[in-house]
Amino acid sequence: MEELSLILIFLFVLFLLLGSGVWIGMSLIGVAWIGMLLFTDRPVGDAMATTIWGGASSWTLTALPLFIWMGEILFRTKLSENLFKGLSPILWRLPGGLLHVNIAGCTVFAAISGSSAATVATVGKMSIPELRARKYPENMIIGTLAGAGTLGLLIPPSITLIIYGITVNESIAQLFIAGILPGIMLALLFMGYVTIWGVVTKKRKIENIADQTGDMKDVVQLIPVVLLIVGVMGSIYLGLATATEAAVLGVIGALVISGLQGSLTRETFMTALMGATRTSAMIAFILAGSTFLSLTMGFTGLPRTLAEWIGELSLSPWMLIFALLAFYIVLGCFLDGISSVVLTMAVIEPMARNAGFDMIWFGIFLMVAVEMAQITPPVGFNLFVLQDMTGKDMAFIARAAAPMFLLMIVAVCVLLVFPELATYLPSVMMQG
Amino acid sequence: MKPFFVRLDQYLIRLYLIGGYLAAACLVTIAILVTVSIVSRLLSIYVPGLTEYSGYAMAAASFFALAYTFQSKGHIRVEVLVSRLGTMKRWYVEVWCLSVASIVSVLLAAYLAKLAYWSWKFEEHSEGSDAILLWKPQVLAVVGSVLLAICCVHHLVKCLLSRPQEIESIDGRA
Repeated sequence: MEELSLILIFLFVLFLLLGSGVWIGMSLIGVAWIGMLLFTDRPVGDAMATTIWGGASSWTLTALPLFIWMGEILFRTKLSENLFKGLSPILWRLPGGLLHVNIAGCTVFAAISGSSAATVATVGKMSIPELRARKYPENMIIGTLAGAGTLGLLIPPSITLIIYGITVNESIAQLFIAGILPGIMLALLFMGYVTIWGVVTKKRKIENIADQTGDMKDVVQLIPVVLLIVGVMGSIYLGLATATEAAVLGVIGALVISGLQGSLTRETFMTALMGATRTSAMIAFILAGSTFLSLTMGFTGLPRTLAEWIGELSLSPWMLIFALLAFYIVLGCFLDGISSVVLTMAVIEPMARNAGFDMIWFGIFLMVAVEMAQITPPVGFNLFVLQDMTGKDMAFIARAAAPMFLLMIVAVCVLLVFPELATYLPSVMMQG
Repeated sequence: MKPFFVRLDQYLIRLYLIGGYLAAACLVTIAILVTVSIVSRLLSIYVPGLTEYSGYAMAAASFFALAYTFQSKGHIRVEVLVSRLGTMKRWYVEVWCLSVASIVSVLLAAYLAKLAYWSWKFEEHSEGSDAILLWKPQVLAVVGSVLLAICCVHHLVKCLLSRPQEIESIDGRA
């Protein structure tokens, strides 16, 4: 009984710190500290310093800032301008027309930038005015952006996937490769939806001519970036490079592309570098807090108890997965993707392993779950970004995003029926 | 605020920025170290300790940038509740948050310093192939965490000295 009240105090402190707006990294360290006081007699400070130093100086972490840096460099090239013009000549003929550019644009952009919100903002900035000018319905413009924007978490190199890999000690290279097919599947689901919508409403016929924008010259502009992404992922898949090494190749490639395009100046170089420094410091701090919190969690016995409890319930994998899905969507009302992964893994990991899930597969599932949280009200980051950009109210945006949400549930079901979608490619890749 | 505080404020902000630049330099160092490891592997030359050095550079990059990131509102927090409060309540919450942040960051800096001190005292060596004295990279983390502690206390004091209407919250995305 005393054990239980200690756990309750521990959880209360956790929610108090996080909820009152204490920075997430600080909250994690603070609650871990208090947990250590409650559950052990160990010297807390020394345990903290050793754990945090060990976690922060780990080599596996180095992929993180490098991929962020690559994204920051590409973000400042002409890529975002080229994206709309370059994709529309390829896609405008499809039923549903230029709405496909939103999805394909987000998919490409997701590959270079690990962040959902940045993906939505960048693609939306170009496509919203163009699509509005062509009288596409507002709810479709917003819905496709909100949905496809979340692909950033799934399509490699995804920052959140790196975090997951570090937290549960699974190969980042394998996770990246595992994300490819499910990411493409989700993109195709979105595009299929737009296509069906296009056929039903006969949208294509009306705007055919006005839709033409850009020509093959603009398509060619996109090739270097696509080659870079394929090269980075290919080198991982073929076992030629580790995730970190591939990231450095990505940084070098990004610098070359931006140099050739003439957008590499001293100023853009420094802004990109400092941006990467900030983002990776923010994430590293959260990770540092979470390694310390994991240590404490071990002492609380919470993860083991929960794993055993779930084990005794002997839920079917379907029920368990949908319970977790609901859990992450609720959590996503308060926390961003990275924080919810980092905060929960210490407890969820033993449970997932105990339930017999393949941890690579589970990582991919988790990404879809966290993505869904990003487009659910009241707090979905992609929704906020879209609210700022379109000036529509939250209810409208959430309704526009709802079909995408349902498609993601379909994606989770497909992943459950065909787990090979995530596990096949990693199983045949060369080990680097 | 008094001119003295204004000037101190500016100096401190510059100090954090220097930390940011050092962190950026560490990030570039990581990229160079990894490039060296790729090239040396292609040439079948063995360079010992590269992975360990990258790890230390990673730790240094993270810690050096903490204060700079804090100053530029890069650390994320849950904003749902805070953003709905009135000015006065918001000031109290801000003081609370900054107090927690100050305590945590001071503890972190103190115990990392202790860790580095014992590594130095016992001449602890890394277990990796680099076998360097561990206190050397640890000192970098200590410097970074001290910067963060200064930064948190700085903002706490600044918040306490300002009137509730003047506070600009250090908010992030979350």
